Order: sequence, then C-alpha cells, then structure tokens
Amino acid sequence: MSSNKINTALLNIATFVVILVLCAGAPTFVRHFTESAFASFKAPLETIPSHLKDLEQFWLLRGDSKTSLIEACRDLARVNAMYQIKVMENEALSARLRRYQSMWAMPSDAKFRPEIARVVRRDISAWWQYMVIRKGSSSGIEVGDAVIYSGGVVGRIKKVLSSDTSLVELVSDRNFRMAARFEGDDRPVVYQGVGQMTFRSAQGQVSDVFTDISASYDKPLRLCTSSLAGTFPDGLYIGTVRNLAVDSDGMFKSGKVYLNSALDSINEVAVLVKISNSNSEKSKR
Amino acid sequence: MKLEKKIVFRFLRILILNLLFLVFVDELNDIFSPSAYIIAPALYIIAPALFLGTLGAFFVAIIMGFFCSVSIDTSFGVLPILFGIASIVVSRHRSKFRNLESTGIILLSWGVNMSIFVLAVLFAFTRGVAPYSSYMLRVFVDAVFSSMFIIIFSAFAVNLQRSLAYLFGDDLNLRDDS
Repeated sequence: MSSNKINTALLNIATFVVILVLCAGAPTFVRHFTESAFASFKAPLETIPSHLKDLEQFWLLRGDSKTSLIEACRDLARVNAMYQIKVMENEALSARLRRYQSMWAMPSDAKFRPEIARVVRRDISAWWQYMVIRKGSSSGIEVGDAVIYSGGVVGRIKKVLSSDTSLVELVSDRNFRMAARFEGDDRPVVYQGVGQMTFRSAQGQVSDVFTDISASYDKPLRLCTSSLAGTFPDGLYIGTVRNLAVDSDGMFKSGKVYLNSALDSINEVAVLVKISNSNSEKSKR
Repeated sequence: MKLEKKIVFRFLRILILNLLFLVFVDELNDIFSPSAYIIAPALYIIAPALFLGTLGAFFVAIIMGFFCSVSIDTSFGVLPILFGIASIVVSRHRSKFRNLESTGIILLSWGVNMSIFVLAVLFAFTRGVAPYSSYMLRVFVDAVFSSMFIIIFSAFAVNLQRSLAYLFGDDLNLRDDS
C-alpha cells in the first residue's frame, strides 16, 4: 500500500516535471508553430464580431424608411458629383505629373498602395500597444508597413498573423520609435510612444528638438512624419506638441506629443503597402 | 517546536510548488499569447486553502496575488485582495471536500477560478474598451481556455501537492484546526 502510494507520488511529480521541461525547453520553432497554428485557428473567430457589426449596420439601414433612403441617395449623388470632378482633376494632375516625369526622366514617386482594413480586435491589456486588423498576407501586407487613418499615423504592422489578419503596433506603444519633423521645418526629431496612460488619452514623446524651436498652448506645433522614417510618406500628422523643455544637457529640447483622441475609437485604417510588395504579390499569383 | 517547523516547511513547500505552477502557466501563456490567455488563480489558492490553516493559506494567496498582478493588470492592486478573500472562503468550507474527490475539487476550482476571473475582468474594465463586442469575445475566449485548463489540471495540482508532501513524509489531509 505504502509502496503504491510512493509510486503514485513519484509518477505525479515526474509527469509535472516532464510537462514543465517540455514547456520551458520547447525550441523556438515549436513555440512559433504552436502560436501560428493557434492564431490561424482563432483568426476566423476574431473576425466574427466585425462581420456581425457589418450585418447589424445592414439591417439597421434596411429598417430605414424609403423617404430617408431617398434623401440619403440624393445627398450621396451630390457628394459623388463633387468627387467625380475631383477625380477628373486628380487624373489631369497625375497625367501632367507623368508627362513632366517622362520629359525630365524622373523616377516615379508612387511608393505605396493604400489597403483599407477594419479593426477587429483591441485587447484591454494592450489598448494603446496593439490592434488586430482584418487584412493579412493575401493583401500583400508585410511586417513594417505603415498604417494610417484620417487623423494621421496609427502605427506599423508588427506581425502578419494569417492571410486575413495582421497585428498593428500602435503609435502610442513604448516600442514605437521613428524619425519625425515639425510642420514647416525639415530638421529631423525623434518621436517615441509612452505606452499605457490610465484615464488619459494616448501620448508620445518628442526628443532631439533644436533649441530654436519652441511651442506653447497658444502656438502649438504639429508633428509630422519625415521622409527619413522610410515606411511612412512625408508630412503625415502624428500629434500636437504644446510645450518643449530644454534637456539637462542644454543641447536639445524634448516634450509631450498629444496624439489624436480619435485613435481611441478607431474602426477603419489604411495600410500603406509598398508598391514593390504588391507587385511581387501579383507576380506570385 | 517540531510542529511549528513542520507547518513552516509545509507552507514553504506549497509556496514553492505554487511558484512552479506559475512558471508553468506563464510558459503556456507565452506559447498561446496573444490569441488567448490562461488565467488560473484557483491553481494557487485551492491546495493551500485545503492543506494549510486559514492564516497560512491567506498568506500564500496574497503572495501569489502579487506575483499574478504582473500579468493580470487590475485597478487599485485589487488582485491580491481577491486571492486572499477566495482563500479564506475556501478554507472556511474545506470540510465539505474532506474526501478530496476529483469531481469535487474540479468543481470547487472552477467556481473559484471563474469568480476571480469575473471580478478581475470587472476591475480591469477601465474606460475606452470599445468595441465592446471584441472585448467580450476576448473575455469569452480567455474564460473558455482558463476553464478547460482548470478542468484538466486542478485535481492533478492538488494531488501533486499531496504527492510531494508524501515523499517528504508529510501525509496531507484536510485540517480542521486553523
């Protein structure tokens, strides 16, 4: 009886030790495979709320009266007419630009193709760090691609989770760091997110600012992306700087960057897919 | 003096094994994150509450609560308090689980785990969690995975505490004194 108990006890402990060693000592490729397999398995589940929301919106619109639909169509027709004129203007300007480029043998400056994607998940524990969007490798998205929205910079692609989902590292994340510049000034500065801000909107930090630049509440400065950032086009809005203080070394200034509060409730973003990426994607197909 | 030494040794042994459980759960979470996160506080509370006195179980629960606070970010540092309260409640009702039957242990663990899970979610529910549907889905997925883990592992965890104690010459049974 006693030896039976000892055997059972030893078996229990041995089982636990084996499980622990397997988990702790699992090679990186096993962890990577498990994580990827699990993410791929769960990806359709994650997109369900987003699809349900679309369906809800559809039925909500179906419930509208014919009069309100006619009014909406009339308003849309006006907006469409305005956009058609804009499209024509845009085409004329693009044609002129192409003509000048061919005349002077200039390289084309079209580097990105916007890919619109819906936000499907934001974790409460990483609200200001990451979000999951409903576009993945099948759309030509790659790690490092810029993500923007109507209010400016959202972040960059940290990981392509599956063919239909990607993980975005937000501009407010502590690990997000990029070259930036102030509007109307070409000198580069360094932008970095500050991470989780409880009960406050997201913020960032700007450093290595030249001492002749100053900002105040009356005259705030707009921080934009710099062409030096590589993955981002030049001049995209990042945030507003209302105060700059001289660093302890006296050589540079630094200050808080107030990000757009719309970043808190963002539902749709645009991923700037590099043209070379999308071309290679098309050639693969 | 000998009894005190035995109780201190038992306390330390249970605490160390709990820390190993914590490492194990963290390793699993490392593999599964960010898709799911296993939250299994019952794993650290049930065995101490059954085999230690109320005070000992309370201290183990508080210590484990502080360790878990690193990964479960609740407002006002409420997690250790939740762990402590749960350990007292289980300790008060431990006589009902005298025969240490697996089904009873699993049900108890699941009940305690889900109670703490729901309370932790409520305390983590700060402003700006919209879209709610995505947040609720994530909570649901975590709850399902945590439940599965508890159902599979809770009885084994209690048995493991007993097995380890048995090898050290300490036959663990439910204590009525506290």
